[in-house]
Amino acid sequence: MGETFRQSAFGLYTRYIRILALAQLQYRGWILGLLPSLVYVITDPLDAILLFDRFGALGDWTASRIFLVYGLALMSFGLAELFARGIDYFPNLVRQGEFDRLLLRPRPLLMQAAAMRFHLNRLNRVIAGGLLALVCLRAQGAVPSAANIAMLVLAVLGGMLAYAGTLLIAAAVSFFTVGDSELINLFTNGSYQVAKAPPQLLPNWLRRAFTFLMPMFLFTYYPAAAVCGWDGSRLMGWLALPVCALSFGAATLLWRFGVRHYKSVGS
Amino acid sequence: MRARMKPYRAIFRQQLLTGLQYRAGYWGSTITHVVWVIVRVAIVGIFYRYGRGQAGVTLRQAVCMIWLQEMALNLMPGFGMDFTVWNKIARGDVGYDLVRPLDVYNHWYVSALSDKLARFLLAIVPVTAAALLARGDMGLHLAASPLSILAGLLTLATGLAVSCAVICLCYAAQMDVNVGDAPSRVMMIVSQILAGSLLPLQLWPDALQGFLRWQPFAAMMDLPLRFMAGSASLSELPPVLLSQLVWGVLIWRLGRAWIGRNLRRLIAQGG
Repeated sequence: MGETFRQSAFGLYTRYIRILALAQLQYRGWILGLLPSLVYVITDPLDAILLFDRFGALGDWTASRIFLVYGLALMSFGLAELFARGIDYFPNLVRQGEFDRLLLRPRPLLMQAAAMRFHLNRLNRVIAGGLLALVCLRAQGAVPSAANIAMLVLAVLGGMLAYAGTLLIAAAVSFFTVGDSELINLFTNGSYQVAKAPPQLLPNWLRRAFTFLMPMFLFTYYPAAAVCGWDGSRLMGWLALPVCALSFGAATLLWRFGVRHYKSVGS
Repeated sequence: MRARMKPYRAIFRQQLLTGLQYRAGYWGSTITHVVWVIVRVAIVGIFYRYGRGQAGVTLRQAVCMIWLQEMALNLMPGFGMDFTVWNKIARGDVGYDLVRPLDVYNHWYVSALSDKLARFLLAIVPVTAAALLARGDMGLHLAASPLSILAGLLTLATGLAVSCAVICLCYAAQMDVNVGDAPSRVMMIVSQILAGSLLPLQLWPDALQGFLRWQPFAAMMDLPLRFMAGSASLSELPPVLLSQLVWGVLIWRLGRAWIGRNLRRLIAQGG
């Protein structure tokens, strides 16, 4: 008992996740439970596939280019949903008054919030996105050098942070509003819909929104362009992780601001 | 007959009015949907402009379909749905619905009808306003004659009858403990896609058009919207109504039989 009490925040986080994962594996039908989300994930890129089938490549932009960008975004989002599912669920926690329970525990709040939920079916996006990206990298003839692999891994990690930060902003907003903030979907599920077309051909405001506001193209398009040698500078490919880490940091500050202004209604 | 219909009419009226009241997140969700359409329209437009292939429908018609879909999607199974009945089945509260002196199937059918209709009505004004404000090719251009628009609205209404039968079929699958909730969730996703929610069905491969035209879900959304976008002529009206009638009756009977079978095997626990 004494040993568990001294556990680090990260150790406690992995313990929470492990328990939640094992609990889901107790159901005999857990594999079947992954099915709906799998169907959803697999059918999502269908519109772009059908459009490529009908209209063919868009200049330099072949299907494998588009789906490399899309796959990287999908995988990043999947990782964020897998490991920060609790943050996604956080607004409900505040609404139902359960956040007080977290405040009472002498453990880091953000860690507790992130570890409140864990859903195995979120693996679907990670695996599908990863496989899609790999297939497309092969089709694009990318060189699997150490630098290239490192760039892509760091980009996906950056993407995970950017999506986790987006979920965290929604969580922070929930301290001040009661309603569902469905708007945030535009920057989570909606963001990789935008990746179904070449960024250069998108309307300017849309491309800028997903480069600067929610830096989706920064952790997908630029690393992919650097690795496959499309165009642009290699430096842009390395920017993903530092920029996304900064945006996650900013989201954390906003969330802390929300925590400080949280008014419990007691029970 | 009138007396027998009375409770269902009351449920429909009461739930429709509740549905039309203020909803949490109404504006947030409306803005999300409008931006969503603009993204979809932009992507389809890029393929039309920079791709080399041909399509049977014009860009204007495709864009029109996508705008109309954003309203009509509210009539589809699983889209922004009221999961009350669903959750009742999952948690066992369904017992309350079983003790009422009502036919359970009709009760759930009428609830689905009022829920879907309320969502559809709420979406009309903001989405139409946004569609008319959007500029150039991105905007809504109803290319059709007033008669075609009427045909579209009529078949959308009759299509709603099919959609609610599909929703009840999903409830039946959800009730069947052997099957679990995965099949009904998958059914909802597949029915939306085959209703054209990802991409208007006329942009799918030409080789599939025959199948897509006659499968049950096209009649819920894609076929009615074709009239309004002007990508189908009025001579298509009888076959669409026929498809809706045949599939509607079939799915209705299937759902009824399945729920009936579930009820016979249901064991209500506790009090």
